[in-house]
Amino acid sequence: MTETLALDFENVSKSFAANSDKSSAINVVVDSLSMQVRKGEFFSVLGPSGCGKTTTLRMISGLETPTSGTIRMSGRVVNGVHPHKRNVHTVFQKYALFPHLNVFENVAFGLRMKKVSSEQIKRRVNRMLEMVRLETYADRMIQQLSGGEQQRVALVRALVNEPEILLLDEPLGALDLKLREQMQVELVAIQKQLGTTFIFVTHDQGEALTLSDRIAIMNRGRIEQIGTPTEVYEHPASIFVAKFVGTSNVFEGTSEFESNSQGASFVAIQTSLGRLRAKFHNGNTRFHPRDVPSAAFIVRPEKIRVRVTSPSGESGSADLNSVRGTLVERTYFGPTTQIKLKINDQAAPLIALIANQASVKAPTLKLGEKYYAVWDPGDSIIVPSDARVAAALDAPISQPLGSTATA
Amino acid sequence: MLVPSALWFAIFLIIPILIVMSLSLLHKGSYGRIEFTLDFSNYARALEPVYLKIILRSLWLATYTTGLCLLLAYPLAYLMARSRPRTRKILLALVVVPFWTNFVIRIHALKLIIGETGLLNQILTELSIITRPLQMTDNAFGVGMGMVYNYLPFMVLPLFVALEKLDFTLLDAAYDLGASRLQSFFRVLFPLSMPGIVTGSLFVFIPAFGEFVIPDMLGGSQSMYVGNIITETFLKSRDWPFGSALSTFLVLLAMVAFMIVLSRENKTQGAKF
Repeated sequence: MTETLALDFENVSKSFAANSDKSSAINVVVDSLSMQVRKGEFFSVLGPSGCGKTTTLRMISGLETPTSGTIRMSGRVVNGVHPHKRNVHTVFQKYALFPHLNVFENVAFGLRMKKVSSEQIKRRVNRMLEMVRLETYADRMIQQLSGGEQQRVALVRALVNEPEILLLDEPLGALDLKLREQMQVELVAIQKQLGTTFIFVTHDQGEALTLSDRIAIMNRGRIEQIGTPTEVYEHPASIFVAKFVGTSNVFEGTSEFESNSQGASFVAIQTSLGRLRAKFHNGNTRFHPRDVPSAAFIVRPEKIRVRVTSPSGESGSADLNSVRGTLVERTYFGPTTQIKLKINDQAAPLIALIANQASVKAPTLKLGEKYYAVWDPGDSIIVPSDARVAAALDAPISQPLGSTATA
Repeated sequence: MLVPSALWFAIFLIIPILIVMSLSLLHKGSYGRIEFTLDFSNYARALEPVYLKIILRSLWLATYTTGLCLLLAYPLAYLMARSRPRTRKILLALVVVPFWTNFVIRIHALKLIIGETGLLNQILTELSIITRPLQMTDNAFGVGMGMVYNYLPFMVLPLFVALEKLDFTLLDAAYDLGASRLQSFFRVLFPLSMPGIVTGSLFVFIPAFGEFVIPDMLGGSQSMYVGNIITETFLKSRDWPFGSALSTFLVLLAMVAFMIVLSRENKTQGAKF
């Protein structure tokens, strides 16, 4: 098992002395973090700024030493091993290319440090530059390159050393949208071609969903969920994950167990919208209500259908979640239309995303009119309100590591 | 806007230099008078072995002062550039504070510390580390101490300015690519701080080459450098033409050094853009 793991974090914590001069307070930046990255995986660490993801990255590269816990690489404990003794290389946020060296020398830097013969350096650097179509740029200085070109130099400067793990610290943040999408495609292609383990740090959830085999979502120094993009999006483990990855409607309340006459089981939750149901099984609810009474109901906007009439009386409608509200906002996105329904006196409206098909005609829905929002209990998630409880529940489900949805 | 500074340079720099240059081509008369006849012998005299030796000694003094200042200033400037704003301000103040007292008083104070009956010798004797006072003044050691002490800030400040602008993630990148601390220094930090090193070295080297007060006060009677010879020639032997020839020589040497450094700097800049 350990041979297939490129990286293994076991209860790793990192704290710094707080920045104020007077207090001796300690700032915990990474809090008993455990995660495992398999060889050849495209693994993303996703979280808002200040969640500890950059510190996590610096501990992998060796620029920081963990305060406690164990970091293993291919089974070997690497706590306190100096960066230049690890086979890990980084693509830095603002590239950190050497301004006094040209493109060739930038890429050759790592090989020169390893005292590789100059003919081999020439061969390997040129092969890398060809891979990113910069072979004619070898003699240029860094300041003469565009952002996208600098990005590619930074990428091959790290890759030429054939690292076991390549770390990418928000490498696409400085690029404009078009170039970013282009680089995303290129990154995935290069990763598949070389089979190198990529650990990608980002705050952009869309980027993480598109690129990754698996994603770890971090918040306040802790991991809230690890899973494939589908798992993370379809079955968020906590309120934070539901809100950070994509858009979610979240309503908190007290959970109860419920079953219908056909023997199907639900977890129901009494919210300010009324009683809402989710299916009782691993994906939708991972706990029994008697263990975790305080919970939150989550439904993604695109799972909601909008009706003019009440669904009651339709077949199988007994189990459906249905609420009625006033249309307060309508935004046309092209392929979809987003609408907001204000329900009772709820401050947060219910958000629904409707595909623009002939049968729906969302653009014709009128502001101020009342509509029904309807969705299936199977499209609903209930998670514990407490993030720590949620994280503990998440551990078993992300274990079946076989699925590679992006392959 | 350029007129005032141009006037300033013309009146206080260019004209005096031209006067000194013309004086150097004239003949010395009796009682310090100057005879207006063209005479190149002053330069021939300046190149006599006695004077050449002194010029070389001065060059050596300026060189090792620059070298020692660089060695001492670099770690300090690095520390300043990497410390938090508060610590940085304190360190900067410590570098500048000595300038609040007069130069001669500062050198005299140094004499009180490292002199034969100075503070340092007293402490070392009291602690029985030495039995006889160490000879730290009235010799080359004293001159070196005084020079480094006085010129250090001129090296620290340009270095600090250069290092402060530096992106230190470049060092992280170097470590990440397998460079040791020493390699990161010589391959990344040192070349990127070159502008500061060059400026600081010029600020120290040029005035150190003509320095005469520090050798006078700390070097003892037999310490002779170009600066001392020039003052003596002007004030004691009253030989203005010869003094002018030596001065011109000094100015030319400093200019040549400056030109060499500048042209090399331009070359590296040219490669960058």
